[in-house]
Amino acid sequence: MLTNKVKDKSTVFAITSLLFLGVLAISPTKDYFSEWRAYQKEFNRLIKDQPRRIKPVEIGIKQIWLPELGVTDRCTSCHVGISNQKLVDIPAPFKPHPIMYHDSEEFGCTPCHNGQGIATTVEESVGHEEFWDSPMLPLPFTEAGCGTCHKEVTVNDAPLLSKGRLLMQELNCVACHILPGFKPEYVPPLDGVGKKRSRDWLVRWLTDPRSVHVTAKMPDFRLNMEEVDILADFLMSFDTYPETVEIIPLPDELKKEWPDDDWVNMGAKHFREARCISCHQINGKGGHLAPEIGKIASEVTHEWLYNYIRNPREFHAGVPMPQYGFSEKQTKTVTAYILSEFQDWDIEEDSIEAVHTPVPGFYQKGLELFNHYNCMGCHELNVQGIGRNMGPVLTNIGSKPQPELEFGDVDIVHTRTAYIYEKIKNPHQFLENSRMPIFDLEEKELKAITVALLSMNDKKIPSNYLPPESAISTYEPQGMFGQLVDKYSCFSCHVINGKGYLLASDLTLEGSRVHLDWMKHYFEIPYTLRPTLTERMPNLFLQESEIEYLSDYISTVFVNDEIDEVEIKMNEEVVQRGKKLVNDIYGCVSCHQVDGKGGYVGPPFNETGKRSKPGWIYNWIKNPQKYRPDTIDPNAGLTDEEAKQITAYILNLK
Amino acid sequence: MRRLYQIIISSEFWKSIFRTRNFSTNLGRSMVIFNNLFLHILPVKTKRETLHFGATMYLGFISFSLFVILTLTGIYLMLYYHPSVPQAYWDMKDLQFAVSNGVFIRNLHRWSAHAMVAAVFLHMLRVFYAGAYKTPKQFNWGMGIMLLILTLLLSYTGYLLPWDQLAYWAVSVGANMADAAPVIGPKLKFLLLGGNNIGENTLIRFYVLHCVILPLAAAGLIGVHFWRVRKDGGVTPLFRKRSEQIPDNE
Repeated sequence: MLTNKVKDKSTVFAITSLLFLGVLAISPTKDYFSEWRAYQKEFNRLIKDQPRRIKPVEIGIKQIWLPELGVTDRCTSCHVGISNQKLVDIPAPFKPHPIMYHDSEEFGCTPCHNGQGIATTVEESVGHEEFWDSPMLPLPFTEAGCGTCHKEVTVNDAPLLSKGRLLMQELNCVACHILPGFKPEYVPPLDGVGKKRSRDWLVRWLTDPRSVHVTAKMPDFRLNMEEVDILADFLMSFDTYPETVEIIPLPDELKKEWPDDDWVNMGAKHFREARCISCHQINGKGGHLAPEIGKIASEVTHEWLYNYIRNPREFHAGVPMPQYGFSEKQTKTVTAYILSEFQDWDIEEDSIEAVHTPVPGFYQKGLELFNHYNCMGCHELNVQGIGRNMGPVLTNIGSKPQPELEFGDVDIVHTRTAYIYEKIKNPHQFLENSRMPIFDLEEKELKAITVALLSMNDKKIPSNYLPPESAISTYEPQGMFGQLVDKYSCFSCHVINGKGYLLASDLTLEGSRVHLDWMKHYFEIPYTLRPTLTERMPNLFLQESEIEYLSDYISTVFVNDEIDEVEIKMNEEVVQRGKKLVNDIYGCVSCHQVDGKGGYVGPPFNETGKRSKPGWIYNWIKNPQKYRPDTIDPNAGLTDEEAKQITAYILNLK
Repeated sequence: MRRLYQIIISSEFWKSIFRTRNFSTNLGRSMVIFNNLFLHILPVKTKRETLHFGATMYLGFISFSLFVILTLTGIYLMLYYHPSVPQAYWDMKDLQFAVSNGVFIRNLHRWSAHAMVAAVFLHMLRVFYAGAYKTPKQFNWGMGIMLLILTLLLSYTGYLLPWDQLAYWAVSVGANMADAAPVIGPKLKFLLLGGNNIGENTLIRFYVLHCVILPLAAAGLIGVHFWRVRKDGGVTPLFRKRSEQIPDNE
């Protein structure tokens, strides 16, 4: 018998049960209306407007699962069109991935882009998720992902990363930070600096190096006037060279206020032949490898300048400048030219302090400052009490946990990327008395360095996913050849057996490449092979015997018999066929000149026969990338016969 | 309606379950309780004064319901969870991102766990203020304390299983508290962690405790606890309704 009271309660019970059922339905409903499902439906709707028929996506969570890489990437749940290059004009997130070397099915997404690949919502996968320690790299910084595996300095198809790494090398970051893969740059040592510079110059330089040389590599340490004074006094006190340095007093001819005109003219000629401006800048023109010298005569003592041109190695064995083979007179004339021409005409004589009284206790204070700012990271100075005082280790800066970064009260988004970018831009905004100097970089450069630093992370990538490591060359030329290579700094521009910088050509196979006579002639009067190239081989003023030795050595040692063993038949028919191939079929003349007509990119064909050996021409045109991987000369897929015909034609040109 | 009810309760099927046909007499109703494993833990008769909200605030029942919810959701979670260091955290992420209703079940488990600790604690407060720890209920009060400890241990062991930073450090703190105990402290910590540091062993240990040993122990003790409630004469109400001072008419 149900009483009224019980009836009332059953109604309440029934209603509450229904309510609970409703609440219970929230979860499956939310599941059903999930973001990824909406995206997939949107995709299936959009593909109806595509010009080519696209298979609709089967609704469900998609993932790339690569247990070996530790990848479970569900990104493709929303980015459904990522590997479908047939899609045109489709909005994000359905756009196909730009064409790249890697297959996304093989590498996944997060090994390069970071982010929480396992997540299936926009916010938690690519958004700013507080508890995910490797948030997705912002798009302009994506190349940091390439650098995770590709550790070489220049990485193909990653221009920003390559630029960043080159910049880091150039700015010598490794002087203060531990950075695997970077080598210390040559920086002038400071022994004897008091004999080289004036105190006035040092004060100007220490206050702001860029105000002295626009392209100065030394950054601004934001020293205050007191610190500048102390350091200048400290440095001026080193007015003796190490015992090993033999200084020749300035010859009398150069002691005059103005050198003779004949000498100056002669010096100017040698200066041009030596192509000093391939590396040095003068009034904004010239190379960027070495310091500006537009006002050098006012910046260093004349004695130092004379001795340095005579033999830069005398002061420091590691200096990249070659030791020119100038005769005594040639050295004097070049010095005379520089002294008369490269003066700072703006210097006000009155501003130079006649007699300076050093700051009391400058030595001790100077030493402390020298150590505090880790000057010794870049500059050598052989004095007691100098020590290294490095900055933070940056080996794994690209994966340093975000909570460990000291953002201070700087108003930026708290991500690693933003931190690194802002830190390089202005280190002092995070820490008032930071020791790190300001490098005064442009936005693009800041981005590039940020990318390079982000690529230094501790991601564990199995070795079979890593690119083959380029073996570090152990080549070290010996004997007389070694001495000459060192004296003339060949490795500053050339590569031999993997050693050196590839500014000019790789000389590993030079002996198989060019004729001995041509080589000898080239050493005497070097010229550029390509009209558009700016970095040119200087006349090193080699002695006759040195030219003889180098040419013989190169043409006997740097050879490959396989290249030499090619027989080229020369007859009218073959040459004519070759001509047709060059002019009409393969269009070589769009880059190369024949009889003064054609393109400006490659070397002209007319002189090729005199320079290159037949075997080299034959092998090169068959597969240029085999000998120089970054050459733009295309591999046209020539048959052996065609290659021989073209070679015959080129050799026949006069 | 009534006829349908009659048909159902007089059917063989009904009888096979309850083994008793006559519910109209007190004896019949008692037999239903006595003859059923699941029901016999309940008293045959309950005092009306113990049924209204003020008497118990239903805290015991709430605690038990939460225990049931936790068991059910826990079993569901066990289907997706590997107690191994490389896998545990990712299983939790999978529950969150890929398993249907995974977030709901996981949250239900988590919030029920928090609620159960609160409910058990409040239940004990109620019992204390009602004076239900006095003779003859000392034993059941002791049972209750054991159950409180089991609840806290379940909560603590479950905390490690997501294998995230919060879990790791919470368990570190807990283990170091055990370490601070005099004499047996270091041994206790070693026993708890299955080693000197939190690692794979700790995870397995906590998983087995959380999913097998502690729930079984709790279920057993809950049975004893309920049985003694009945044997000790039912619950002692905290508040009585004024109307219930009048004896029952029936």
